[in-house]
Amino acid sequence: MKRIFPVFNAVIAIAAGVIVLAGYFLNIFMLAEFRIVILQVAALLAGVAVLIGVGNLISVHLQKIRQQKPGAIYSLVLLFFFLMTVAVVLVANSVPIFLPFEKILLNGIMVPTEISLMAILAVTLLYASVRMLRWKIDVKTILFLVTALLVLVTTGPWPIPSIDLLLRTFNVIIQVVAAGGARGILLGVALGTLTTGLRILFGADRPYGGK
Amino acid sequence: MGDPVVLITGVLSLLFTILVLSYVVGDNPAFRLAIYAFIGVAAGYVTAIVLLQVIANQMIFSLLSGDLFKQLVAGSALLLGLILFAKVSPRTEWFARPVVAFLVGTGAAAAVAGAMLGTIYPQTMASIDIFGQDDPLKKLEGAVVLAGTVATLAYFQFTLVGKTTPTGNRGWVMRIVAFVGQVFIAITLGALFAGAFSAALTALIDRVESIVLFFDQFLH
Amino acid sequence: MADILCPVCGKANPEGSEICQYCGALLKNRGTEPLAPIHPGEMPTPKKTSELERTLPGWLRNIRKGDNSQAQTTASPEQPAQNEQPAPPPAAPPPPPPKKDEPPVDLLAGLSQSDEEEEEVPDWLASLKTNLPGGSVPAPEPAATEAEQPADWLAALQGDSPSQQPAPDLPAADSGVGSGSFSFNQAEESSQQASDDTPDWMAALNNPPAQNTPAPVQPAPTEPASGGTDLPDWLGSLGNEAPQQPAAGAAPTADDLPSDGDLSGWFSGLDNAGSAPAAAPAGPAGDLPDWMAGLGEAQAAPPQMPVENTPAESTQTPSAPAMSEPASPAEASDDGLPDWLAAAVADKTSDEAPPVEPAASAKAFSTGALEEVNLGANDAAQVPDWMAGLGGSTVPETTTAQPEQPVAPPIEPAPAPGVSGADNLDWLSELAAGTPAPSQNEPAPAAMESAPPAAPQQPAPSFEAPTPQAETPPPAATPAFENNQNLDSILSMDMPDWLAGFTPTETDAAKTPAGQPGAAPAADADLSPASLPSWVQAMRPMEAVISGAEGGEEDQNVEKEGPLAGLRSVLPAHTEAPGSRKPKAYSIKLQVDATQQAQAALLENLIASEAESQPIVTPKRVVTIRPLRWIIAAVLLLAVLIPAVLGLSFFPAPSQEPENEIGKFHSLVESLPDGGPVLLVFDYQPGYAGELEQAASPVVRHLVDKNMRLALVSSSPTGVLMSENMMDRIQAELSNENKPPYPAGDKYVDLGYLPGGEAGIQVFANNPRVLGNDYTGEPGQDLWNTQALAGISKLSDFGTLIVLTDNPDTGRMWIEQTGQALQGQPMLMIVSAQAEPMIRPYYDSGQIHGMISGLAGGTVYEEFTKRPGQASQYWDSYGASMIAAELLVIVGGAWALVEHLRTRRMEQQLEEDEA
Repeated sequence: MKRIFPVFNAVIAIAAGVIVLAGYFLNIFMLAEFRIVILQVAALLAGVAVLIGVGNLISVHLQKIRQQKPGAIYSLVLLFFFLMTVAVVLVANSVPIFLPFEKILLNGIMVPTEISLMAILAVTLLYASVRMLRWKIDVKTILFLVTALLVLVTTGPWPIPSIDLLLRTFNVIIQVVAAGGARGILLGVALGTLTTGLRILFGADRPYGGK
Repeated sequence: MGDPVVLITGVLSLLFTILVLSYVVGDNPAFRLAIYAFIGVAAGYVTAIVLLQVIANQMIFSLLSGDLFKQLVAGSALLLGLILFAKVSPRTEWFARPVVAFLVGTGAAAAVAGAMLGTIYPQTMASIDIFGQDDPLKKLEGAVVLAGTVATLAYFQFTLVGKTTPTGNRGWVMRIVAFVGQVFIAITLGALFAGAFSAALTALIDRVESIVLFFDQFLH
Repeated sequence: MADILCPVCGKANPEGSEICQYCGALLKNRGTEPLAPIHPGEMPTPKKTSELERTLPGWLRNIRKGDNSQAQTTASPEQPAQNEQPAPPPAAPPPPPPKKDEPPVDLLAGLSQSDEEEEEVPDWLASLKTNLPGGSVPAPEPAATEAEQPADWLAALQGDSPSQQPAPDLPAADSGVGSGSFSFNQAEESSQQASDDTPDWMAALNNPPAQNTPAPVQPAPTEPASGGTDLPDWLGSLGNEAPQQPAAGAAPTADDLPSDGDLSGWFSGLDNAGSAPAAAPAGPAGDLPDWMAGLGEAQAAPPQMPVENTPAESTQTPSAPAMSEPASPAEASDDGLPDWLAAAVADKTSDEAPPVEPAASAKAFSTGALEEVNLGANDAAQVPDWMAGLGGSTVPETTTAQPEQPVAPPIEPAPAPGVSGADNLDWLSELAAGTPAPSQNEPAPAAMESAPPAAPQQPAPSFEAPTPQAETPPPAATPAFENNQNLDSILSMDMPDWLAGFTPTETDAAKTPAGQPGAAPAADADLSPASLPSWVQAMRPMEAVISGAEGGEEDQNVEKEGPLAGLRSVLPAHTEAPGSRKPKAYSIKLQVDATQQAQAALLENLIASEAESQPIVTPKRVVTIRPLRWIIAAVLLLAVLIPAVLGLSFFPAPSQEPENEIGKFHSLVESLPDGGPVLLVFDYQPGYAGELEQAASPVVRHLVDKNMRLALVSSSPTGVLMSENMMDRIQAELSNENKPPYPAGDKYVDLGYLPGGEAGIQVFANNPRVLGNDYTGEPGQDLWNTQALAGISKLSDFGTLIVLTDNPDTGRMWIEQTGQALQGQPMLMIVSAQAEPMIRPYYDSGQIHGMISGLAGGTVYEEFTKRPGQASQYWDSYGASMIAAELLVIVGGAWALVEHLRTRRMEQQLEEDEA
C-alpha cells in the first residue's frame, strides 16, 4: 500500500494536470468543460487550504499558550483578536448592525498596522542604501545604487518644472534599459515555471509527497 | 469626528501606527503587541472571508442551488476539502496527499499554460518586434530591450558546452554577454529598489497624513 | 566383536554398527534424519557414510536392503567372473591389513552390491565416481571380473582410438581397461564383437561418431560424446574429452549393459552376471561407476586395503587416472599384468588371497563399495577401500603396507584395436615396469607423494601423464589436467540430494585419516552465518575425494568462501586447459579522452574542495548605527510632515503625457461607453493601500463619474476589504460633493473572494459566473441577476479589466490567465511602484494597454481627470521626502564610500607596518 499510494498520488496529479493543460490548447468535446470543472474544484480546495493554514497558525499559538513559552502573552493577544475578528465579521455579514465593528477592527488595526510596517520599510531601505557602499563596493553594487538613485530622482517631483521635464525624459531611458532586464527576468521566470510545471506533470517532482 | 465609529477607528489607527513606528527606535513590546494584534485580526478576517465566500457561498449554497452542475462541483470540492483537513495531523496527512496532488497537478498545468501563452510567446514576440518598427527611436529602444533580454537570459545560462566544459568557466563571449546581462539586471533591480522605496515612502506619507488628518479633525 | 547379526547376510558386525560390513544392509532401520546444518565455509567434517545414511530417503535404504540380499547370491558368481578376467599380476603384493577403526560400514557398499540400486543410480553417478580422482577410490579390482566381455568391447572401443592413443606401439590394452574408454572410435572396429545383448548405446560406441545413432540408453559413464544425441551433455563432454585422455576408463561391457538402455536393466544384468564380473574393467574405471567396479570386486577380487588406494589416488587423475597412472604399468611390468589384474586372478583362485594392491589409477574407477565388499569377505573389520582411502590413516597405512608394491593401474592405456586381452598384459607390464611403486615409507599424503613417477618407457604420453599433484614426470600433467576437466564437468552438473550423501563420506573418510594437508583445508574462522542444509553437508565430502585424489591440487578450485566453501572443483576451472588460447590482454587503463580527463579532474577538484576544511570567514559584522537610523527616520518624517502640516505646495503637478502608459490608461477609460461594465480586480495587500488607493481612487472616481457598472473581485481575501474601502472612499467623496451615492447592486457588485490563484483566475476568466453568491444577502442569491451585471456572461463582456495589484506576480497571473478570455478587450493595470518595472514589459508588449504606477501615476491621472484628489495632496510630502531621501543616499553613500576607502587604506597601512 505504501508503494502504491505514492504512485496513485502521482497518477492523480499527472492526470489532472494533463487534462487541464490539454484543455488550454485543444478544443475537444467536453475537454474544455471538464478542464473548467477540475479547475473549479481545485480553486475551491485552495480556499479550504487557506483555512488549514490559518488553523495551523492558531494551533501553534495555542500550544505556545498551553506551554507558557516566552511570548505567550502575545499569542494570547493574537488569539483574542483572531476570535473577535472572526466573530465580528461573521455576525456583521448576517446582522448589518455589526458592520461598524468590523470596520473598526479592520480599518483601525489591520490596515494602519500594515501600512505602518510599509512605512518602516522606507526607513530601512533608505538606511540600507546609505550604508551599502560601506559594506561592499563593486561595479554591480555601484550600478545598482546609481540606478536606484536615478529612478528616484527622475520619478520624484522637483520644484523646478524644467528640471522635472528633463529628469522625466531621462527616466524613460532608464525604464527602457530596465525593461530589457525585466523582460529577461520574466522570461527566465516563465521558463522556470514551465520546466517546474512539466516536471510535476511528468512525475519527476512530487511536492505533494511520496517518492 | 462626530461619528464615533470614525473616532474609534481613528484612535486605533493612530495608536497602532505609533506602536508600529516605534520600531524605528528599536524593537519593543509595544511594537510586538501591535504586530500580534494585527496578525490576529488579519487571520480572523481571512478565516471569515473564506468561511463566508468559499465554504458558504460557493460550496454550501451551490449545493442548495439546485443546479446539478454546481452541486456536482460543490459536492466534490466539499468532499475533497474534508479530506484535505487530514493534513492537520501528521498521522493522517498521508490521507490528504491525493487531494494535494490534485491541487499541485492542476496548479502546475495552469502555470505552464499561462507561462507559455501569457509570457514566453508574447514577450518573445515583443522582443523581436523591433524589426518591424519604423521609428528609429523605437528601433533603438527595441534593440536595447532585446539586448537586455538576451543578455539577462544568458546570464542565467549555467550550462556549459564545448571546450569550456572541462574548465567550468564560461567562454569569453559568454562572459561578456553575461556581464552585460548583469548590468541590465543591476539596473532592473535598482529600479525595483527605487519602486519599493517609493511605495514605502508613500505608505509613510499616508500614515503621517492620517495622523495629521486625525488631529486636524479631532482638534476641530 | 560381532554383536549384531546382519539380518540379510547373517554375518556378525561390530557392536554399534548400523550397516552390515559385509552386505551393506541396514542393521537398524532408521528414519530419514537430516544432518545438523552446517554453515558455509565450514570445512567438511569427516563423516561416515553410515552417519549420512539417515539422510537418505527411505526408498534408497530399502534398495540397499535388497542389495544385501543379492550380495550373497553374487558371491558365488565371483569365481567365474574372475576367471574370465585377465590374469592378475602374479606378484601382486598382499594388501595391507584393513584398519579396524575405519568406518565399518559403507553406505555405498550396499549400493555396490545391489541390483536394484543400479536402477536407481543414474549413469551420471557412475561417471562421477569414475571421474573422481582415483585417489579416494580403490583399485579397480573388478577388472578381475569377467574379462572376456570387457575385453571384447573394449578392444572394439580401442579400435579407433589409436590416433588418440599415446603411441601406436603401445601394447594392446587389456580388456579394454584403458580402452579408452573415451576413445569410442575404437568401438567401431569392435562393434562386430559386441554381443547381442549389448545395449544400443553401447553399440553406438562401437560405431564412429558420425554413424552413431541416437542411443536410447542412459548415458553410461564411459559413453562417448559421439552418442551425444542420446547422452547427456555432460556425458557427451566426457566423451569428447575422453579421446584425448589415455584410456580413462572403459565402458562397461556390452553384456553388462542393458539393451534397452535402461540402466536398471543393465545394472541388473550385472547382478545377474552376478559374480560375472560384469563390472567394468579396471582400466576404464574412471568411467565406470564405483559400485559397478565394486560388484566385480566383491564377487571376484579380494578385498583391498584402503591403504592401497591412497597411493593410487595420488597418481590418478580425476577422470582418466588409470590411463595416466604410471604406477599401474610399473606394477604390471613385474608380472606382465596390472596389479588389479593380478588381483583379479588372485581373486579368481581364492577369495582369501590377499587382494592385489589397487593400482593408483584404479582408485579412480573402483569404488569403495567394491573393496568394501572385499573387506567384508575377508575381514569383518575391514573398511571399504574407498572409505579407507578417504580416511587419513589409510594413506600412510597403504604406503607402509605395500612399500614396494607398485600401484596397479586400473586403467590401461588405450589399447590398440583388435588387441586381445593378452596383449594388454604386455603393455601393462611395460607400464608397470616404468612405474615406480609407491613406497611404504612415503609420507601420508600418499595421493601426492606416493605417486610413482611415470615410467620412462611409457609408451604413450597419456600414460606418462600422472596427475598433477603427483610427483610424476611432466608428461603426466596433460592427462591429469584433462581428467580435471572431466571432473569439473562432472561436478558441475546437478547432483541429487540423495547422491550427495554418498560421496561425501568417502572423501571424508579418506581425507581425515590421511591427514593430507591439502585435502582438508583448515576451517576458516570467518564463516558466513548462513546454514546449509544437510544435503549440502553430505555433498561436501565429495571435495575431499577430489582432494584426496589430486593431492597437491587442493589449492585448485577449492572454494574458500561462500556457500560452496570447502568444496573442490565445484566450479569448472579451465585455467590450464590444453589448447586454450592465451587470454587476450586487456589494458586496465581507462580509455578516456582529454575531455573526460579534464572533467574528471574538475570533479576531483570539486570533491577535494569539499573535503578541505574551509577557513571560517567571519563576516563583517553589520553594525546597525542606530543614530543614523534615527536621523534617517527623522529626516523622512520631517520631510513628510512639514508639507502635510503646513500645506505647502512647492512641487508642481507632474506633466501629462497622453502617449505614455498613464495617458493611454486615461484614454481607454475615457473611451468606454458610459454605463458599461468594468471589472475591477483588487489584488493588493492593506499595506499598499496607502499607495494604491492614491493611485486607484482617481480611476475609480473616473469610472463612477462615467456611471460605469463595476464588478469588484479579488483573488486575495484581504482584497475584499480593499474593494470595500475603495467604494466607501468613493461614496464618501460623493457624499462630500453632495452627489448621490453609488448604489451597490445597481452600479457595482462585489463578487468577493476568488480562491485558487491561477486556477481560480482561469475559472473566472472562462466563466465569471462561478462567483456571485452574495453571502450578505439571502443564501443562493445570484448577483448576476443584478443590474450591475446585467448582460455579463463572460469576461469579454466587460468593457475593460482593471487590475489593482502591488505584486508583479499577481499581475502576471491575471495577464496570463485572462489574456485569451478577454478576446481583445483592454486590460489596464494600477500597480505599486515596486511592481512597475516588472509589469512594464507587458505594457511594452501590448498585453496591457495602460498602466498607472504608484503615487506619481495617481497624481498624473488626477491631472488628467482635472480632479485633484488625495494623491495630489500627498504630492508635496512625496516630493520633499523623495528629495530628502536622495540627498541622504548621495551624502550617505559618499560618506560610506570614503569610510570604506579609508578603512581599506588603514588596513593596507597596517599590513605594511606588520610587513
